Amino acid sequence: MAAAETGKMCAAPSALTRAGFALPRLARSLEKKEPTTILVVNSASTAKLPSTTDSGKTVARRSFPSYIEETLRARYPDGGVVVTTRSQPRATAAAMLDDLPAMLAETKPALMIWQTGTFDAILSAETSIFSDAVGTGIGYAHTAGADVILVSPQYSPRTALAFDIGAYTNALRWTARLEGVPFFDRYAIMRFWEDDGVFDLDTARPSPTLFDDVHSCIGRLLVTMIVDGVDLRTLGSR
Amino acid sequence: MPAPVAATANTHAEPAERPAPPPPASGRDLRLDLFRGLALWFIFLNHVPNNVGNWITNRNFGFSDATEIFVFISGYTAAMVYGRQLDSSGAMVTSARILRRAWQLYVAFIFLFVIYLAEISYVVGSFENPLYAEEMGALQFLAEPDVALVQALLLKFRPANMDVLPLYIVLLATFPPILWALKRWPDATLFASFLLWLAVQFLGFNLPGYPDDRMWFFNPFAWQLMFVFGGWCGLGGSDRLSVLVHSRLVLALSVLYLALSLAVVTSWYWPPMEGFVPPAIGDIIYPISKTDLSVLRFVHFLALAVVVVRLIPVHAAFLRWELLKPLIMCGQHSLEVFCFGVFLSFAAHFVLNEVSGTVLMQLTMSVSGIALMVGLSALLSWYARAERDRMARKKAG
Repeated sequence: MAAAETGKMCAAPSALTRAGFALPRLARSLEKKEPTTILVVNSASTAKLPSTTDSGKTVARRSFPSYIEETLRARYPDGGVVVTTRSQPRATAAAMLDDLPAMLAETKPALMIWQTGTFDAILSAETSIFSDAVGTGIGYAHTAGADVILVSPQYSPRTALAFDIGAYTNALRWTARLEGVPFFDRYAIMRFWEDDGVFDLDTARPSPTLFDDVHSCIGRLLVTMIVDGVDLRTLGSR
Repeated sequence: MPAPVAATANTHAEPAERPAPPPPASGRDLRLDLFRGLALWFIFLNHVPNNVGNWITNRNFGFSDATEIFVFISGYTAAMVYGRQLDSSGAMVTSARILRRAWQLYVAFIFLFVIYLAEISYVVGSFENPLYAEEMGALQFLAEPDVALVQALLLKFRPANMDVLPLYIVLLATFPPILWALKRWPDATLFASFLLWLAVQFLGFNLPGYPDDRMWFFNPFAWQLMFVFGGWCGLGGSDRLSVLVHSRLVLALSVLYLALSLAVVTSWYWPPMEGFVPPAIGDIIYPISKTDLSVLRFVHFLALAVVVVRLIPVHAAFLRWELLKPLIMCGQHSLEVFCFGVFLSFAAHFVLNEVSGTVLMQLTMSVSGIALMVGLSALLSWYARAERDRMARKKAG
């Protein structure tokens, strides 16, 4: 059905979904088959908001965390995987730091997926402050017993004139390497889709399913990276 | 070989090619115009978002980019031209001329800002895509146009592509006392400028911006060093540096630094190079701040300048090749061409989104944009020449 169709569209260069670093805390939790929480932290403003399409029908939009949950549950049926999302609209990475310890204490995740940088780019925040904040946040997560995957801001061709994401994506890539956590380059992946004609991201009249299609692909590819990171740990421990 | 012919044909026309301010004496260093023209082309290419054309620009091959070249040469020529006027017309008149130039830039900024607003308004009005709710939310300053416009008039609201212009305005508007000091105590002035830059590196102060708590993307307290250093060189400092520039050791160090920085920059986007920078080093050097003109960028520019000066002597015959004339012409009308380039980058962004964003289209936009910039500079050269001839006839008659 629809899932199989999107599965085909979700192709991306394998280099972009390779974890590169292990996710030992998540792997341990999955191995023990205990309830596992994955925390998604982002700055989206419209998560899970239903909205109407051209035809007037109301559709509930699903963003990528719910696709992660669905796919991971199918893959690791025992124990139970729960994905919870915390979003803070219009928050820079530095602003996010204030609430991060509380979020981690409350949800006790084994993995934190952190998408950040969009609002930093909008404010043209100093990149050194940005990468320092991201590094500190990763430290918080590790202290709280959670692995981290960093996610870059998405590719947005129409607003590219107003703010430039590039410097922040670079800062994230480097911080991820420095801290030894996987980096999911959402920007590069969406750019690849646009260039390859998989999705039309700059059209003025997007198809009503574009949001769901993109988010389901992001979710699936993130799972590919998560599984890769979990397997790295298993291979290493043998 | 057509070069010698072209050279004799040009020597008479060339020195007077510049519109306002008054034409400098003969012996103009064409390298300045050439590289300023190149910087203008690069700035245009870099300003078209998602454009393959910008792969050729120097930012992909080292720490510094076209902005350093542009600001340095602007400082150099400003000090040279206005420094000469300071001797002939006095401090008051020269200061007034500098401020008039700054005013022209300010008006140009506001003009471009209006065009930018028009395009952003169009994007906001025509584009409804839930996927980009967060990004579109950032453009909500349009909901309060009264504030946005006043902030723009105060140079606090500077859209991404236009950041260089407010920097240039501030540098030029504060230039009269600096020029005066540079003429009197060149080394002390350069040292003071260096100290200010150094203070920024450690204390990190900057001018405030709009909206929210953003800062100036090009911190004027840091970037003034590039401008003042250019001015110092333009007032004779470059001759004093020539011993240094022509030392083999300096050349070797420069080449080494350029090669290293090329390798580091390549590691950012070319997977095989990914592990090139060891974490211990990366921790020290990253992120390389463009806002505060990181020392790595400044040194990269110096190294680049040393190598270029060694490779291209002032009187190199090829500087008069017809092929390079478009670049030199663009460099000679930098204000007009810069502003036109910003406008063209808006237009190219519009076409790439509305019509087609294919690689072929990106290349077409890049090439035709540069062709239009050259066209404008040719028109301005022709007009300046016509005006000059008219003045000459008037005087003669």
